[in-house]
Amino acid sequence: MQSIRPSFLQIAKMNFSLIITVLVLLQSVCGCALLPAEYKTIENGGPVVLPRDMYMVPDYQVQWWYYTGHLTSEEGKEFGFELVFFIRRTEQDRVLGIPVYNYSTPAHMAHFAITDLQSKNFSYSDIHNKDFFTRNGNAGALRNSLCIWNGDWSVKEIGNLYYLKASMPQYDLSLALTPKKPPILHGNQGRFIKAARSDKQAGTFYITIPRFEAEGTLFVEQKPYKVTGSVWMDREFGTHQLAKDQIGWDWFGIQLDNGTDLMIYLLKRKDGSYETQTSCATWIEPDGTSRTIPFSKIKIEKLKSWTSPRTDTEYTVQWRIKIEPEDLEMTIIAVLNDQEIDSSASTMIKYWEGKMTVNAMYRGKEIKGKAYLEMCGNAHPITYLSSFPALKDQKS
Amino acid sequence: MRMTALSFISLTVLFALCGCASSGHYATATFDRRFSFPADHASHDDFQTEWWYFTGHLELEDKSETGFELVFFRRKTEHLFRMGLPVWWFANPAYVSHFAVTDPIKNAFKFDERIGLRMPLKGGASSDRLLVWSEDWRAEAFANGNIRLSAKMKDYSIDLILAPKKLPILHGEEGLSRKGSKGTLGYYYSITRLEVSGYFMRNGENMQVKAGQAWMDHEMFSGSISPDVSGWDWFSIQLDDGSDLMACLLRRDDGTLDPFSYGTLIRPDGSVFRFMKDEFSAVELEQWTSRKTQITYPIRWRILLPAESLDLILEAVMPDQELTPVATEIDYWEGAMRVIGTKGGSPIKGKAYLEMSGRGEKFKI
Repeated sequence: MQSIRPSFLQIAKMNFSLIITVLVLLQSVCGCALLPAEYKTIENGGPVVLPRDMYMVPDYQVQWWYYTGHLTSEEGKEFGFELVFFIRRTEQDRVLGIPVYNYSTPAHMAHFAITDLQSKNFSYSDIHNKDFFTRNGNAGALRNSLCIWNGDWSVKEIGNLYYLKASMPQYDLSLALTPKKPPILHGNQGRFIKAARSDKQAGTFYITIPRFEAEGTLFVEQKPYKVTGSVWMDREFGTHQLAKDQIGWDWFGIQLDNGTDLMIYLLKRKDGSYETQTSCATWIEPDGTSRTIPFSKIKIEKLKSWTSPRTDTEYTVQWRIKIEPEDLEMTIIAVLNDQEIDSSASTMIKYWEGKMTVNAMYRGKEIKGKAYLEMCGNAHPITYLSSFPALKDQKS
Repeated sequence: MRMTALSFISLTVLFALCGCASSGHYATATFDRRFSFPADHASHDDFQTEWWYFTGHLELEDKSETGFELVFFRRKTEHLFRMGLPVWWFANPAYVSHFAVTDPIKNAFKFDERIGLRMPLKGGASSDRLLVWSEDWRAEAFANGNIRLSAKMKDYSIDLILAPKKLPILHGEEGLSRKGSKGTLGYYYSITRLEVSGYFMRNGENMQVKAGQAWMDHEMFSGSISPDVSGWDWFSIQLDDGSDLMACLLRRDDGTLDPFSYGTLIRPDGSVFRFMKDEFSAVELEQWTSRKTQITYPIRWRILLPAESLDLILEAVMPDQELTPVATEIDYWEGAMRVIGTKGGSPIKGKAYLEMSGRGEKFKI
């Protein structure tokens, strides 16, 4: 695995340290009060209204647009990619005791990763308000159309297509996405509960477009490859999404060759078990109709693990998952073991997100597919997508 | 017919050293070529010189009549020297790009350039499809025929989708035209109308493009323009009735027009009328002198095409739309124009782009 650390990132980090130093000094003069903020939650927010809620929503603490996809060049080279844009309101956040809103409000962060099956190379880059000192950090998002940008990285809706752009030193990706299914609302009309308590529900609003046809160009070492493939998009927004005893999640976005798509969301508890109440799957038919499959009907077997030599974290890279009501049994295998991301320059999470191959038996017939898997919380607990360690200060 | 800025890396030096441009081992434009689209939107690597020119008019949320120009040049650099150094040591071909924005709301005209020279080479073009780039600027066509343009400079950036509304039009004789009486032959076609959507960024703020129309030119040739031609004035006019007009005036050193000055009219029904020098006239009505270069440019014009009963007045959206790129060392004016006039006696309006080159130093290529 090769981690690309572009120079702007180092600069951003240096700026970051510099700013923090300055702020520490300022703080002694000005005090360090956080700003009051009333964020909407899944309890008092919603309902989901489309297309408005695909665009930037201002009233929630955190939101993201997650694109993962499988690309093949004309020559038959295969690639996976992840491109995600996060926006986080920072009135309640601190880093090293310093209120974050002083230097980043809202915070715009983004991750871009490429899995290159030819070179067995996994590369990524993560940014936090790229071009730190320019106005808006040169990042932003529109409320009246799907348009999110962070430096040169962007996703933009133009016409009925979606255009992605991102680059790091070795790779440069530009894609046009044509949606093949309508937006799918998970949970109850998009209200997706992750932590259920008698007194309180936490979670996010969660919308997926599970299948796009993609075409475009991937530059590898300055050489352009014409690529086509399939892409998955997740859109979530919310406030306070996990419970105290939840440390993270394992998430699958699976595209089967028969046109069926499957989202599996497994919430992980401190003791290593899955949350039985809120973990679930969404089964999405080729025509876009969908239904929720409860955790009790999902059988999960972990077949093989891999330990990251950098973070000493263990991740499951081979799975067997059975969706009993549909008579589907899948073996899901990582194309590369090492697809771990250390986003210390942006969201400050160590996680694993990677391209998988799927071999399955579906109603007695062999079927293949592609997937992306995200494993969060293996390295450290994820506190509310906690971009900032300071969030540990918060009461849940 | 546009060679602005094409003398990438001082062709003046080249001409002083070599006397003439050699086209010996490059492809030559001939009469028997059959164009095929979209394949011919791609790069034609066997020609010495090639360019893709995009100009357009954008209506933004603030209702402005914003203009943009984005052009990519490809130039083979054998025999090309700069400061005594052979350019082909560094880049062959070389990819140069210009980007300009006319922003009437801010009363601003801004331009920038890219030179795909940084190592490893950061410019290129695909010979399979329309994909040309110079550093971070790019034009890329998708399977549905739409073209994505992306470019940025200090205060402005564009990320546009251009959807062709008309078929490519071959200028001259089946795409072939002569670059002046003693000049080489070249190929030139246009997509005279593309619908524009996407985003325009001013000072860090992205704005949705509400409506817009663009024009695309693609030219390729080897060799040089007629030595007695000092520059040209090139018009791309889009009228509100759906007709489009290209006109190219080749100005000679003695002030007269070269007989190979010509143009093409595309009528609303798609039929094409090609005309030569004596069938149209272009009259300069008002001058403007650049403070930066002291070059005088006409910024109001009257264009007459009697055979089609067209009588048009073109007026620059703002006087200063002059580009003074560093890499190409060629100053030129390329700007958005408003059009009013009559067609068959009835009033008509439209939009245009005008390019004027060689009005200062003689243009050589």
